[in-house]
Amino acid sequence: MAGTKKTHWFRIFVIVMIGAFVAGTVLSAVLFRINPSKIYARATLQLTFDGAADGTAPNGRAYSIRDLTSDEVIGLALERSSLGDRITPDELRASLYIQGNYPSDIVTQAMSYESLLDFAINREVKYDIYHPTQFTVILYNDFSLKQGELTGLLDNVMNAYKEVFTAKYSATVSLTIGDDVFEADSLEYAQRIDLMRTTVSQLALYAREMAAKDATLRVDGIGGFSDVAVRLQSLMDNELESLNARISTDALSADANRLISQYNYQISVYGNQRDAQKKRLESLNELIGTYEKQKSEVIYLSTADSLTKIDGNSSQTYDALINLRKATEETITQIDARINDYETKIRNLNRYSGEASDADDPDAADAVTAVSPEDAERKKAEFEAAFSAAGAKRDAAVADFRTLLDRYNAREINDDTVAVASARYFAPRYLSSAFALKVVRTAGPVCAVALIVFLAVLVISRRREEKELLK
Amino acid sequence: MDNKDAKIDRISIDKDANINVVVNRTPDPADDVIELNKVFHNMKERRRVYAWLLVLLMLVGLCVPLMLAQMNQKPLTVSSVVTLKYQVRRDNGKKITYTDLKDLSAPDGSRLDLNEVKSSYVLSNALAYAGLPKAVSVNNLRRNIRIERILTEDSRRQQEVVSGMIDSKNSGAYAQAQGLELTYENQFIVSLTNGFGDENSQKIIYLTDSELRFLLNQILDAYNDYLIRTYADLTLPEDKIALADPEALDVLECLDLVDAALEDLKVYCENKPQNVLEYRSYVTGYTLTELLEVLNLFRQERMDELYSFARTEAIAEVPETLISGYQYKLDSVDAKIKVQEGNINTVQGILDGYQNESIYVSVQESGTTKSATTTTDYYNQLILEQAANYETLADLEIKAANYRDTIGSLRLNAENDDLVAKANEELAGCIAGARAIYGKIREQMKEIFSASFYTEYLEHSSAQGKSASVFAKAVRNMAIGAVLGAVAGVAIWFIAGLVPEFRLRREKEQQGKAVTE
Repeated sequence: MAGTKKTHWFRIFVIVMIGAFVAGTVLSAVLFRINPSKIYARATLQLTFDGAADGTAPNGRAYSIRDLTSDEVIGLALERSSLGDRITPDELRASLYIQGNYPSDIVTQAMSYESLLDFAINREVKYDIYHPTQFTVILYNDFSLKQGELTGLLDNVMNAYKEVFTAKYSATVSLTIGDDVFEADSLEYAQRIDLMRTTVSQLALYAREMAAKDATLRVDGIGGFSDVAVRLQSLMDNELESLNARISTDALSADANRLISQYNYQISVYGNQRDAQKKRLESLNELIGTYEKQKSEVIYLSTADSLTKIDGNSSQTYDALINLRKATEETITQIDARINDYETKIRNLNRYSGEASDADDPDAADAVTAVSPEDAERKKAEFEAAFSAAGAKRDAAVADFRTLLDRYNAREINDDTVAVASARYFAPRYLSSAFALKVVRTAGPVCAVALIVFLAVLVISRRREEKELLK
Repeated sequence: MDNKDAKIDRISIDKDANINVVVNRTPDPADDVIELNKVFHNMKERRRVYAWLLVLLMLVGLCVPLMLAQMNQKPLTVSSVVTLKYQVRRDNGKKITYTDLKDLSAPDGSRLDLNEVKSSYVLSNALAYAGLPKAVSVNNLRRNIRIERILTEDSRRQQEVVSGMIDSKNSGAYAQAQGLELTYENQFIVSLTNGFGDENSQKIIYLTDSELRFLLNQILDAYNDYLIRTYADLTLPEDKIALADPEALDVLECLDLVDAALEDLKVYCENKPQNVLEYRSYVTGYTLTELLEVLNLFRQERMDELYSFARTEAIAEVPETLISGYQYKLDSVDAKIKVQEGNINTVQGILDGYQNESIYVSVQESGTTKSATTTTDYYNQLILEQAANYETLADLEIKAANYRDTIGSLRLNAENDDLVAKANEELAGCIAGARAIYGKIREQMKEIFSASFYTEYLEHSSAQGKSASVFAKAVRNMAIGAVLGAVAGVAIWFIAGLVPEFRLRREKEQQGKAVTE
């Protein structure tokens, strides 16, 4: 009898448990339906180029992950997925969620503080800004797209970002600025040399910066960045200097009269400046004189535990005045030097224009006889040939520089350093782990309650049986 | 032997004998002792019921804490570390400097009010952008946001030292504590707690974990937008070159205007922070520094040259208007010079008549008194002002002299149409060149405005925070509950085993009573 009772109870137990589990599953399915979690696609981005952890891109600038939601990237992505008419850029932007992978204790790290009085702790440098190098990008399906469309859209977004990133953060070199600002023919020779010197020195500086950043990159036939920098520097030091020398010794010019009148004008302008500055210098001297009379000797007052200087700010003011005077004197000296420079240039040019040097000029002793026009033409032609040769050298150096930069960019920013994993689709499906978890969460309590009820019933029935037996 | 029997039968009672009566009262041990063996035997008999009851109570003890923990679950809080990373602009009248942000100042140097993170503008934008399925009101959202500032290391150390002093009852501690100036890092922490509802209403809205994180992200992005909108200076350079109209104005006047426009452009560029100046465009490859060099070169080589040509050849289409224009300028500069000279004289008068402080110092050993004068701060200021006046005067005199020369050479003008035509041609080229530079700088600035200097004023970590698993926290309570349930079950079982014994004893007592009656 007891045996059948046992199996009878056991059967009931099994039935109850199965029933509870089924009820729990049905309930969780219903809840799952009512409150579905969002459908989304997810892709990851990993940046491993040099400087990614500091937040700097290969071209030295700070990069930002916000570019992923910029107009360019979104526009490109929508175009490529052919969804431009169904989704506006703003809607797409609102459904993208970019998450950087930060350490989970970053909040406590930020708030942490190691007590000064605790010498045992190994003091570590607190982080400044933590730049994540791994990003998770989630695209919520707020537009009722199909699975393929959603993952395709996210893939396009990531690829567009990769392209825009490559374009924006690659190192570039400037094309020569001066060419479309200055009409080259209208410039005097000296001015042309100045212009070339400016652009070449800018390029050389940039080449040196790149060489400092990457000393190992080498291309056959070109060398490295430092080689390009050396070439540009020697262009400045040798070719341009020799052209300059040619101009000053031979006093070459495209239009001598005009140059002379320009120099005269400059002399008069500088003359005005010199006069005004000289007057200022005199006034400053007087001011310093008055101040010296007023200023005290320096007195120190010493007491038992301190030494006070009774002086106010007079030494500072006096120093400031002396500095002003010094600066004014320097300005005057510079102006004098420039005026002399122009006067020399005028004297040299006068040789070509055939004008005899000023008879009253005490420096006329080194005036030379005028040069013949044919000679002048020949020298001008030589100069222009040399100048265009220098220009050709510069262009060759720039072309090589660009090749090096392309190689550098290809090495720094490529598919490995800006790695994009393809998008995965996440939707609440009955076969997913999320649903299984929900089932466990809902069916668990249901089963527990059922078990309690079952046990209670079992206890009560057995008690009743016992009472009958005892009777 | 009758006498012996009679002696035995009769007990002789002495008069002084004591009679003791002893009543026999030994209890029956079997009545009061409850044998444990019997109790356990009873328990074993009843095990079919009470064993299951024990299991039931343990199960209940296990489940109740879990249920309670689930009901009292604390809502999730997510936090983000926000780092402000703009440059602070300080304008001391003469120069504009930019420094990296180290504390909590706004980009224009004023104090940054962190409560703006909870302002309606920011929160309503964030909610609109987040597109949550459940409507959370701005007020409810504001109540659940918490902002914590972070003290700098220095401030914390100071605090620590002062609190140590207070602990050791140092008398100067409180005064020092009052004078403590606390500085904060350029980072702060924003926390958002789930569960949005009015204080009075019952209805509380709960978002899912991922929605909560998304919302915090949106709030911080909206705050970034707010900072940029309020503080970023996104003005492009103005085009003042268009003012130079060769049709209406003479060559010299046009050149003046173009020069002024280029000067403005140069000042505009120079007032930008260093990192903006060094930004290399990814479209053209220029930096602003390089563009400025070309600008300077252009002014020197092209414009100065044309200016000198026009000046020396006295190029003027309508000389009279030009002369009167320059005369007017000369007159206004002369007037300014007069004013400046007046200033200088006034200040000189003050300086001459100024009585500086004399101090008397008595020297101890010799008993004499030494007197000396020191200059007051006001006097020093005046002296420096006077020096600056001289500088301004020099600049004005240079301008006046230049104007005078120009007018002088214009007066000597001879009619020369060829030169005028040539000058106009070159002027057109000049203006085109100036425009080209302006265009390039403008394009550069447009590109810079979309770079991170002007689009990202703060960086924030992603929302961190995990809802603690209910199970893990309740484990201890569950164990206690299970133990309590087990104890209760065993106790009931024990009592159940005890009860029959008590009944038996009562029956025996009753039997015993019946017997004695």
